[in-house]
Amino acid sequence: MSLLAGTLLIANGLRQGGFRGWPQVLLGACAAWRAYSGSCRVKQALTHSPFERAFEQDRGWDSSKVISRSITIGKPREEVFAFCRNPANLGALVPWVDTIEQTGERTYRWVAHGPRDKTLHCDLEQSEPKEGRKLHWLAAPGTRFKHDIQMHFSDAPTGRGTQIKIIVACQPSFGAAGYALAAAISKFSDKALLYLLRSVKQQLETGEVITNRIRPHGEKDLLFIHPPSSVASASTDPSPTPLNGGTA
Amino acid sequence: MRALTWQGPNKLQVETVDDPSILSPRDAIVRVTLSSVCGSDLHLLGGYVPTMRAGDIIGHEFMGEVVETGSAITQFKKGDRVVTVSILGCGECEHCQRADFSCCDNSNPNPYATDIAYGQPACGIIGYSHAFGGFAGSHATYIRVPFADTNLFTVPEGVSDEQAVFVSDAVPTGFFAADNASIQPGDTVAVWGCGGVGLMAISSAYLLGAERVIAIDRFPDRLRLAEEKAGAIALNYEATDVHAALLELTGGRGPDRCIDCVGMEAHGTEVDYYYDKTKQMMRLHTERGTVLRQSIRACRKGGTVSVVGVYGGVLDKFPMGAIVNKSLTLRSGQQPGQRYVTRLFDYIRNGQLDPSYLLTHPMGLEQSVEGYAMFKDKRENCLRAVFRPE
Repeated sequence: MSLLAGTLLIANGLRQGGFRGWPQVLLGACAAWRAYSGSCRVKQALTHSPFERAFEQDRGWDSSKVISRSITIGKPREEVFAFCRNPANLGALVPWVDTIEQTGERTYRWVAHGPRDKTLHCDLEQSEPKEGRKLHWLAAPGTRFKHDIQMHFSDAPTGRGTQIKIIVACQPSFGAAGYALAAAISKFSDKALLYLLRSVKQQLETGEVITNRIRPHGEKDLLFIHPPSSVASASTDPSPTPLNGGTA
Repeated sequence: MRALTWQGPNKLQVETVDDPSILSPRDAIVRVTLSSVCGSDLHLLGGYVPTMRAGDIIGHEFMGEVVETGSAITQFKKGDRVVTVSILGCGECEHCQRADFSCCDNSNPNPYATDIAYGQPACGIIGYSHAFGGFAGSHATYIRVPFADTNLFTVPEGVSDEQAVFVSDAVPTGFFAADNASIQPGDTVAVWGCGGVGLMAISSAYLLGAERVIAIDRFPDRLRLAEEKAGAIALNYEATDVHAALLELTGGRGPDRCIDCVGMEAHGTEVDYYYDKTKQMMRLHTERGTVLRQSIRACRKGGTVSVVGVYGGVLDKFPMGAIVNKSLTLRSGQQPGQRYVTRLFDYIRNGQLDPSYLLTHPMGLEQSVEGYAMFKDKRENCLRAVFRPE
């Protein structure tokens, strides 16, 4: 199909010539190249990865877009795990997160400022952690877009601290179009995930997140809203060191 | 406060800007007493390093007096006379723990550009573009120094300001270049570039056991300094076939160690220089690799090429074949000065090293625009213009 379409476009482009013809030649050459190479970037972008297929099978989802990032932090696993299990610590490191409210024993509402002064929120429920090994959050029941977020902790080789692998999965709607949209958005969320991990590393290794400001303009001030005392007393979370601006 | 700011390619301006303040417990504020130009600033000035923004304060080689410290600072107090290594280390990551401070994971608040360009983000550097952190530079009355306990060093008694200021960058960069070259007693070392860093690399090579050092440049005053102050054999590449001369001076073997202290704006007389220059002017690539090619070609089989000249992007016509087939070792990096400062102060106090002659043009900060012009154009034999903020 690509070869046929490419040949027709090239032939028509050459016949027409000029500003209308040469773009057709170019487009036809791309199509012919696609036929020759056997690989199509568009098709690749719409194809679920083997990991995504396995994830869908495991969770019973009809579709998923998964991103994953890793980092090594030069601190003991217990310390890294204790820091990461407290959402207030992570939220303080994400620039656009304004508040995190503990709405239940294991449920949290993350509120962020979106484009055009819109406020976005996401309710996440924390599963029972595997102590020192895994943290797991799921979108709370009834949430419009399903998310599954896992953080895996392991010892880095030769005593270099702790490796964190974070896997974020979402369930896009509307079939292939939804998957394509999620894939496009994931280009940005993948970077955001990387920068979050780097901030966690900086905070844990140096006690601060480096800044190049001359003066403290626009200092971020995350608000962690404490749960009612009955819920707080039921919480199993330890109390790691609060961050700047945090009230955890 | 007053500061020298970059306004665009070849446009500098002294203006009034906000004073810095302590933003983190590990910060210190330093009142700058001396701040030197550096050859690597010329890459910023010429617009060859992207991610500069109008209003950025430049300058990264400086010393001063501590005027304020964050609550976590334990090694310094108000009034301490200090020098700063501007290639910033956090002191805590695995690279800093190995004394590879210039590979620091945590000192660059803008990792995006170098992450894409280099595969992993580079460390932060004071006053050296937003790709390297966007930190305000030292050509100013005051400067905020992050991770001060790691990056500040007290200047000991017996070391003058004029000596100490260059322990911020030129001396450790030159020493790092020689150290990276793995110099063995009896080696012949060739050093390309006789600016401040090159001259310090020559002296460092002798300190590390070189028998002879050959200095290559085109400016007679710099070659004279290489001979008289650093004890090198001088070669003017505009008057000499450098490759042939290096072979003649080494019995046909080539220098054991070659050091590139020039970097991305190398000049030359051969066709590759004009090829590089044309492509650079057309913004088709960033580097002029004449010196790197020459040093790789001249180096003896099994020798070492050490690169501290600044390169920022991708280099065309890189002679990988010579590296492979002559079994060369290529080593490089930004200087991890924190590793060397104490040792370098000892050399200075013992009289084995005196970098003060690099300071040829002391002047006030208000005259710094003219200082850069003199430095760039090599007027009045300007080796280093050093500013003293009022």
